[in-house]
Amino acid sequence: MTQTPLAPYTYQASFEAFDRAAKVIPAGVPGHLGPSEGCFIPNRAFPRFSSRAEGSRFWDIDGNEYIDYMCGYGPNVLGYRDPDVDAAAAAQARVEDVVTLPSTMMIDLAELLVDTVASADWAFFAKNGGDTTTLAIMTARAHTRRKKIVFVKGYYHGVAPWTQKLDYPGVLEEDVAHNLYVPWNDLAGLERMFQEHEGQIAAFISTPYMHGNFVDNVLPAPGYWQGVRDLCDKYGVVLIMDDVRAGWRLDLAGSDHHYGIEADLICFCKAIGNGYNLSALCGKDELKESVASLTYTGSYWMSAVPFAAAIATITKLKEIDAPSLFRARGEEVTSGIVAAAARHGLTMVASGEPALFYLRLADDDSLMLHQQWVAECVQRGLWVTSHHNHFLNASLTDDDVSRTLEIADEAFRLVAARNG
Amino acid sequence: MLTELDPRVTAHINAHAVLGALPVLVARVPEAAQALAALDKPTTVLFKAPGVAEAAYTFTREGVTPGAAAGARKVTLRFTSPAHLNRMVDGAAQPIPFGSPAGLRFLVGPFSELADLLGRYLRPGPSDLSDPEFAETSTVMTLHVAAAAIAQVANHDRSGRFSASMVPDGEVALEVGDQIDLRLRVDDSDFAFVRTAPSAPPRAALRFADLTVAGDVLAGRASALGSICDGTLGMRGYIPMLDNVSRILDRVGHYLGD
Repeated sequence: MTQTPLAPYTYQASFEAFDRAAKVIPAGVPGHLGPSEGCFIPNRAFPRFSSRAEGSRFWDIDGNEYIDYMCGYGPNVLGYRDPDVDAAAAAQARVEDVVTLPSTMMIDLAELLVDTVASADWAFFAKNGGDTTTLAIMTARAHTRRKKIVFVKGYYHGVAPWTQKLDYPGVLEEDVAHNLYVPWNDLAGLERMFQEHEGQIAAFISTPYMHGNFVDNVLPAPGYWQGVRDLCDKYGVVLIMDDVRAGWRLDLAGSDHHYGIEADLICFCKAIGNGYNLSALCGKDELKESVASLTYTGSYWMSAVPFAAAIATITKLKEIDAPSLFRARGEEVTSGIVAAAARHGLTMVASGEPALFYLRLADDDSLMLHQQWVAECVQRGLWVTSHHNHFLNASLTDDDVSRTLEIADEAFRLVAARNG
Repeated sequence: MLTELDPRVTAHINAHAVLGALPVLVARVPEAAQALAALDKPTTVLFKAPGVAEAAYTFTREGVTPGAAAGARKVTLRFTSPAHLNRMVDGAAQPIPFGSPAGLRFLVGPFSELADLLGRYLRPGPSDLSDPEFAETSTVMTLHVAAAAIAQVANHDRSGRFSASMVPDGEVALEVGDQIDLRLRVDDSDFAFVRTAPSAPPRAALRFADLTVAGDVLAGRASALGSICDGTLGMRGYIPMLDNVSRILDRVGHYLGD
């Protein structure tokens, strides 16, 4: 890779493509990969389209190169176009993919998940993370014949109507009428909620730690998860762990295992197939007949190529002990960035698990300084975000980390000079 | 998303946001200023409806200011219900006026002229908008109404209060280029439209590239999301504030839309 460019990147081809897109696609690029939900601030500092990706990097359609700490918002866990995963997927593609009957590859993957994930007695496959969180809620309601769901404030469990809120367009009050909210790490509040609605709560759903957007991420307090487990058992509430985001980066046996408990249901997606599209809900034996009773399927949910890719991905993650690698790399990257900020008189806060670190410049309460820093980084080839936790992948090299810190330092210098 | 509207919230919007654009109207439109040129003394008009926070505007030869003024002639418009107030603003009902003969003459004279002009600028016809100066004033007034209505919806509407409960303290700016910087102040989930000039940077800002973009977004001719994506509507700062203010603005659109 070249040295830190003196001039920021330009994106002529990206913007021309975006103009084409805006004519035929609502908002041009809707959703989290687009300028709005992706928080492209300021708008013109960010490209719109990529042309290729390999390992820890991708290139935009103007030819600009980026070290990518978003990893497609999580799926890239081994490195883009990992040769082992791609070979397994290609081999399966030569045989079959979407057919009238499923491939036994589905059984192979289910067996691998049951052997790997500590709390899993079975696996049910779908495509997106939201498919599995919705399935988990339906399963809990079918199993308990109760209506209410307890969420942790600041949650994100997908985009189905039940995951949204009273004031969201297109979401009816009835869609969220049975949603209850408790603060993170608040066992006493959770118990009060369980007592107040005793016999009515089907499930408690939570990510393994609070990795909400725009706020410092918060790990579970000592004893928190065991306390949650005990309360769920006491009140007959199904404990659902949404491991869509953190899964496969903290602990290959599941993030519930990482924090010392076993969930009743656990949701996986993102990193499970290194970019090949599938998701899985795993769960306990006592819920197996409940999930089997549901009407829940999709056109591509049993496609064989992603199953083969997931088997190769999980096998390789085990071989390289990916969670240990991610923890070490994450600590190296975040400590380097925090130190670089300090050299320019700025205060960077890194929070959450090192494998999925969240960054925030804490020198103002508006995130404007942080948004400036992110924009300078992106325009020099370091893809970070101002709103979301980051993701590590196993292909990140020592040289990548050095280059990361070099660009981060230059961006801090520019921000400090502009705001000094 | 609530599908029903609350007439009490509509009345708050009408009393405090729609009529709240009168100062802008008189400041920008010579015809409106002319309507007050012959005013013999300051006159305060009060709007009273059950369940609606009282609104008052004081009219002088120099302009209109929100609130009552000591020593001013007082005229009170009473309404039997929030819906009655709303019908008056729509031109479909009459208020019950209380005041001196001079005060009542003010109502049927200058105030009536201003009300007609207000309606024309806030609901312009196509021929009005072909005049660039008219269109600009109309958009500026609409922006003021929208900003003031955000505060009313945030404080009084069920959906608005839900959104407001998730907005941290601080000021949110609605900017148009470098010309306009309207502020909403949030304090413990309570919203206020700030009518004085800003004195400090906001915690978060929505920035329309120009008045045309602002007019298109506020009139629903362009989506806010699409405008953010194409860069004509910029955002910066603490985005959760903007996220929730945008939801309240959507709800404002339900109340003010056709």
